[in-house]
Amino acid sequence: MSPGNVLEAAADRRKRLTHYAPERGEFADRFAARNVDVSFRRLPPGGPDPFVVVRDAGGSHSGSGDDESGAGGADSENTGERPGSERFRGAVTVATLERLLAPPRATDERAREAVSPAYGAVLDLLDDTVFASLSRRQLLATTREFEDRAWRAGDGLLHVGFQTADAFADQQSLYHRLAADTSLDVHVHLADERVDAEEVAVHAGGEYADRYWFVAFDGPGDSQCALVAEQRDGNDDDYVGAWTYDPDLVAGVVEDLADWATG
Amino acid sequence: MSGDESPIHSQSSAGDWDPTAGGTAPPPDRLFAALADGQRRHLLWYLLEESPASVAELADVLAGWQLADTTDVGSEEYDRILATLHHSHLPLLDDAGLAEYDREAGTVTASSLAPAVEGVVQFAHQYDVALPER
Repeated sequence: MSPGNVLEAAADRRKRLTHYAPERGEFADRFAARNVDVSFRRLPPGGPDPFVVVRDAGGSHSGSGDDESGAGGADSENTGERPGSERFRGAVTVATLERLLAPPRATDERAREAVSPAYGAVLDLLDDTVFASLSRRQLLATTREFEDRAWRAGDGLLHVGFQTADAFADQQSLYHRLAADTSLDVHVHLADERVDAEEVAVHAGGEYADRYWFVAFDGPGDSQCALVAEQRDGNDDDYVGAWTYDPDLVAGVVEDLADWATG
Repeated sequence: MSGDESPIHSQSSAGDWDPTAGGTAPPPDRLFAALADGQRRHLLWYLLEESPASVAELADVLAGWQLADTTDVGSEEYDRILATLHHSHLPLLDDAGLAEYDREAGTVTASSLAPAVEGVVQFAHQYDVALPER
């Protein structure tokens, strides 16, 4: 299962997002995702801050997780939604979601500091969503969050791709620490030339690293996560991307990367 | 501020005041029991403008109000909201005559409230917004 399969698998999983606000505004335009339907409901004046409700809208759900039959205290009475498998995932304010659209600037030195908990909540809510236009800054913030998950897990396999040796050079001290201070097995994939790095296994000449921005972590418990993004039309600040916590999907990607790395 | 018809500002006319004029007006205990709960006040406020509404939509709105106190509302909390709607809030609003709860369809339709009652609902909402629970 290659990194590209994460994008394909995510595209099969549709989400429905309901935007509650006094005015429709430009929310739906800013929130451009390929497998998400955004609908708007007007809030009367004097209501709560504008918010969004995220629902899984069915699709082929191969992963573990949702146990439709036994979950929660809601009974089987009709809620007036369309019949089918729509399932509430979560609600956050638009202001919280804005952190995803315009994330806090994550500097290299503070990767291990907790990124805002609100940011993590939004990431959790919007897994398996294929975003049509992610900036490098958004990808970097998500990458930092996933590096942080790996750091907290302290054990497992971490594979990260860099398109250039220069990009890796900026992060080298961080990955050195990740590998040296934990039991993590850290693998760095470079598109072009080799770079020597202590503690970290470096694999050069990878087609995946050339094509995708990726970070994939297979660790203990429910810490698995993977982010995959592909540059759009040669624009170096515009990516199609998705992240997933599906353990099977993450394990598949990590396995593929490990196979490739060991030749 | 609505509720101009109430005798709050003109006590001398209290004797002539007919709160049932122009629409539904529940018995006092029913009305004030309905308004005694913050979630039900939110529901009544929403239904004044957005009726009919599905139960899921009402649950969404209650979740939205909770976001004033928490970063996110997850599925467990949402299931609690739905259960409270089904078993408590909606039957109570229906019994009071303030709304019609169609269990089969999963929809709630606001009753046509007397202007005096609508005024009380709006007053309760404004009071909530001005003095939120801590």
